[in-house]
Amino acid sequence: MRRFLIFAILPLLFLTGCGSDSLADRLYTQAIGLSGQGTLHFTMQSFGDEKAHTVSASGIPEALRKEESAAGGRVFIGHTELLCLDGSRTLDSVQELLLEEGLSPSCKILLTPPETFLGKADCTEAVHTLRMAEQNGLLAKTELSGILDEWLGNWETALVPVPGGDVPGLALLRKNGEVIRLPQAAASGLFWLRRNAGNFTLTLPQDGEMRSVEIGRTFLTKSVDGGALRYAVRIRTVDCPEPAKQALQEKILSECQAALQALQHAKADVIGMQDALEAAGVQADAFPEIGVTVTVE
Amino acid sequence: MNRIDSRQLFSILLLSGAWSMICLPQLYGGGQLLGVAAAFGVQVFLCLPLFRKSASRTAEVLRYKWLGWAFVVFFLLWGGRSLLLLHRAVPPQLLQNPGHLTAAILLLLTCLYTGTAGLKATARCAPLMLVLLGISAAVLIVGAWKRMDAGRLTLRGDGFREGFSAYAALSGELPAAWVLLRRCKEKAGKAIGGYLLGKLLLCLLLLVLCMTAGGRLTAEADYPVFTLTMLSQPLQGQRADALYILAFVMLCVMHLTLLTGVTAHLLEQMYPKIRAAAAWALTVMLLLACMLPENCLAASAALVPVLLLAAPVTAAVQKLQRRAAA
Repeated sequence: MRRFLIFAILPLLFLTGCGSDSLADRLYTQAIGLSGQGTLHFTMQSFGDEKAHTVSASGIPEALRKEESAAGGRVFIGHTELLCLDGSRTLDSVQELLLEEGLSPSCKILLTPPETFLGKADCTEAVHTLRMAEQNGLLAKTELSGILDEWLGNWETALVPVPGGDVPGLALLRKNGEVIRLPQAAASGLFWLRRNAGNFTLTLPQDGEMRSVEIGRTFLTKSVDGGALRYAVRIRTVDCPEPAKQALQEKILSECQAALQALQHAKADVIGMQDALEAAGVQADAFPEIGVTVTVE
Repeated sequence: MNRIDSRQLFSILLLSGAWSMICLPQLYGGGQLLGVAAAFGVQVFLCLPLFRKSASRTAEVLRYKWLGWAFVVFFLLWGGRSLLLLHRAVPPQLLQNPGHLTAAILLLLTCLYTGTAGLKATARCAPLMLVLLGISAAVLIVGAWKRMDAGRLTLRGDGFREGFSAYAALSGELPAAWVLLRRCKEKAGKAIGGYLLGKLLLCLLLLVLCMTAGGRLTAEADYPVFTLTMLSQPLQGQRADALYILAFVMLCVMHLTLLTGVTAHLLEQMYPKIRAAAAWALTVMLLLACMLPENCLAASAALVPVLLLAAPVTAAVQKLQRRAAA
């Protein structure tokens, strides 16, 4: 019996599937775009390809099969770096791409019409600009999994980057596709009210000249006081003189207040308010009152 | 009879339990942590007879044929439930792609082969598989680390009942441990204690990762651990899916092999002339998975405390009857 089974199983070792596909037969997507009401317009750009290709389909599986037929290879979206959305296709499509098709959870999202952006803009440069802006303290960190998590919250709003001048801007995207563009000060304030890695250099005007301040680490604490949320931002600087600390503290405080004002106006939760309230055992039916304190050390 | 040592017993039980755990349907809410802790206490209580240093446990099961059959029926139902769970919870990259049937047949053929090879062979490779499970868990933690938000970790909230029932239902290995005790003559209690503790730690790790790193995505998922593996990709240019799939398949094979192995062992002990008992057991499990509704198969978990207490209680009653007769 055992010998028979060994003879039956041995040939299966050759059914690994490795022989049927070579790298040249596969298309590794660098950027994907979703747009269109009703009918899905699926745009795709592969690594090393300067052109983008758009197909129309009823759903994502059909769109992928059409792209495969058009490009002549199996599409693999697991290493996709950029996902462009125009607001018409949001939660369901993006969730399907992540959970069913294996889109990278660290994929960056850009709110822009994909048909006009992909193929004309340099995707590598767009992704690097987003990453460097996040690392240098110029833009709040966003990525696919975080955006989906925010959409699934009570306030159904996510923070999404939009193409801008030197630095991308930020917008609030509701689950229903509504877009609210944030002013620059509010966008800067959100950087401090969300988790960030720290260790970067900021420049701020002082006594008529630009001064560099090295930021070591930042600490964000959330507390609930009688139904009101309190955010405490503590920033540790490296070798920073006292007047510069004071100027930095005032600048960040005004940015954070601008951000909170924008969130309160839009009734949007992109700074983990719901989690903080739930952790404190407070039921968040109405939009909470929020306060912020900033300390620069 | 081939013996297995306590390290192998610990490994085989933990690996089998780990597979059921990664197929858990709900993992969210601080209340679940408390529910899991409470269910762990109940399992430890049920295992008290197993900690007694005695190698005659299997003999107790086999002394009464009805009890032996009760164990066999449980293993068949539990195996059917596992096959159904495999069909439902399997990650999309593995069996839902084109080639679904090929992968399912290969998995079952592997289980058939390992089940036929016997428990000794399975037990020998179990510690190696445990290393693979450890590596997969480490990769999962590293990948989830950058997404973790400790602020989400709280003991408040609903989920006590769900946590209790889900963890209590992960006890299919305990009757198997009872059957395997006869093969493990040294430090069996230590192995079972290690298994209970290891399973608790693994469950708490998955719960904490789902709460802090998976967030609402895992809370809304049908099978949160698979969603967590989609989110936990530690390297930018290299996906870890292959490692997770490998771990999933190996755990699945180990789980089904344990169930077919102990069923075959009991049948061979009760009916020494029986042939190809493992193949028959796997076939019956497959038929049960196709024919019985999911609720009926899942309800077999309720048999675990009955089986664990039946053998010592029956033995004690017989002893009392013998004393009374004397």
